[in-house]
Amino acid sequence: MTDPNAKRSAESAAAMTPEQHQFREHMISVIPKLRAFALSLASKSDYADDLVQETLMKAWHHQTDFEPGTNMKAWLFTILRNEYFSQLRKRKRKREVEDTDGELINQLATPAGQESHLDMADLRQAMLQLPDDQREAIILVGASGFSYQEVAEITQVAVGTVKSRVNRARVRLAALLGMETDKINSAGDDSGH
Amino acid sequence: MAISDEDKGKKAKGSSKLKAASRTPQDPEVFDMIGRRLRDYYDDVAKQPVPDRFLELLRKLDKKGEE
Repeated sequence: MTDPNAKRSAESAAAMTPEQHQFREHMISVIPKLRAFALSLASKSDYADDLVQETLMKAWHHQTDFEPGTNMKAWLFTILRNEYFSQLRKRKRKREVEDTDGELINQLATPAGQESHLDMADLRQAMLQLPDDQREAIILVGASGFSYQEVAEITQVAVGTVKSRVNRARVRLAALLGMETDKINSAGDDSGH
Repeated sequence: MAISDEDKGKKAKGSSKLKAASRTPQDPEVFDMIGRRLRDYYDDVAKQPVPDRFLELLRKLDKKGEE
């Protein structure tokens, strides 16, 4: 079974230096993770892919800035989140209002199992209720596989700040997802709800 | 000791809710559940193949670079 990505990328790899080729291949391998990160940051999936697109363009144009052998994933994630936050600041200045109701559920990435669809919707909805810095922190630490130190570098804050953002995000998510309530109910509260 | 049984019950329920609320969010079990759901959500997207639009973009950029 041939890998369609490898075939396609091989076609245009001919005129590149080995370094450029390696850079390209490495970048391609990170794209799915970049998308996952972008989707958790951005409320609309179209916008998430636009973010990835801009990130790839920036990365490509600055490929000489990237030191081979260093953390490409962290480098790309940093470019993406910087772009997201810079656009966010611009939007806030323009006082645009983003509609996150309704549309949101229709634009979720399709999950594997059927019953998990609701779970995914709940989780994404809950995530979008978090402040951006907390949402970013908990995804980077909890799902993307970065260390606290790496997340501190990507987000350009102290490790302690990352930790407190993650903790606040967890507490908030637990409440939003009703996990807190479930626990209270199962603790023997027979108030009937 | 003029508190009625009903009020005592309410008060007890209120304070046990408060205790549960302050204890529960820090519960490692809850954190683990959240962590699992986050990873499931993230992995689900991360295992999808690279969309054509990005491979196209890179192809265009490479072509431009050659000129």
